[in-house]
Amino acid sequence: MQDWKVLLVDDEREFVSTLAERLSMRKMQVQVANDGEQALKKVETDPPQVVVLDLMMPGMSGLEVLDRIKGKSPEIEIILLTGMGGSAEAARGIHQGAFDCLVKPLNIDKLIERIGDALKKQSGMAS
Amino acid sequence: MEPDKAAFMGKVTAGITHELKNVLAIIKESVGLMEDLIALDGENAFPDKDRFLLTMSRIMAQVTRGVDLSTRLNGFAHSADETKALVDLSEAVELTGHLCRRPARLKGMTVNAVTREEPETVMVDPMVLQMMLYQSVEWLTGLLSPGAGVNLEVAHDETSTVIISTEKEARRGDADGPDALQWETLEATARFLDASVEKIEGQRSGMCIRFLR
Repeated sequence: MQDWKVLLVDDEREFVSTLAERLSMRKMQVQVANDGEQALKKVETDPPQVVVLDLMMPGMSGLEVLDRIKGKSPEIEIILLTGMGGSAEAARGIHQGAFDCLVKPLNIDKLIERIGDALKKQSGMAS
Repeated sequence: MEPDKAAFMGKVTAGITHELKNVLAIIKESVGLMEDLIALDGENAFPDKDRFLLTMSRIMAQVTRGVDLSTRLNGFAHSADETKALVDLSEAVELTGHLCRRPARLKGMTVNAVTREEPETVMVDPMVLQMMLYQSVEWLTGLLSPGAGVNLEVAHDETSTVIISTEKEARRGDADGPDALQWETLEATARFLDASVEKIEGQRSGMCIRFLR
């Protein structure tokens, strides 16, 4: 987990900062963005391996952020977060290339497992 | 309720359930962080560690309960999205069971929902179906003695049907006696609902709700 570079994107500041703290305690390198614009800037200046991205954000939607990241850096894996499972947006996100979609509140072990799986997929693509 | 009013209520309620999920997510992560910090402390833990952990596990259990409630409330809110939609009767019965359990419990009764793994779908006004199921259970609990139950069962026969029944011996009155008129009213409402069920090729159609008197 030590080398994992993860970007968390969510407008719920307390949620994302607490989650970042928990992942950092597990030795991940974690960055945080609170909106789509910030996320795109961070992807450009210090690209993460995996982005954990909330679907419902004010301003640029999660789907738009997904589209723009995948358009520029298709190797970055994206895990979407949604309040309700089985939503049309979640299905659209998977269709647009997201690695997975998890339902909030998260199970942290499940999140870590899926980040690991996304990295495995990424390294498989690179080799 | 008029369709546009119901849709408005549904839209606002669905939005609030998303907010509730965010609140619960923050609580869950915060408790999770506290657990992480306590685990890091290891053997040097403070004297009341066990009481803290027990309290945190109670908070987590309530978060799980809150998530379940807001998910179901979201499902209910979305039943107002359209006046005609394909509805899986098992999902409708499960939701009704959940919505009715608390008011039934206050009367000392139970609501049992028996669903099917295979979808039993009908094209119907989802809100009307939900309302009908809820009102049927609500009225039937008024007929029963405490300790009894109302059963909602999704049947698989020539029609896609929810069978609503009660234990006969638990009834306070005879279904053919003074309560007969109310039974007939319920059945008439069920027939009205059936009349609105759209017949689609490849889909079973017919009685949507049946009562076992």
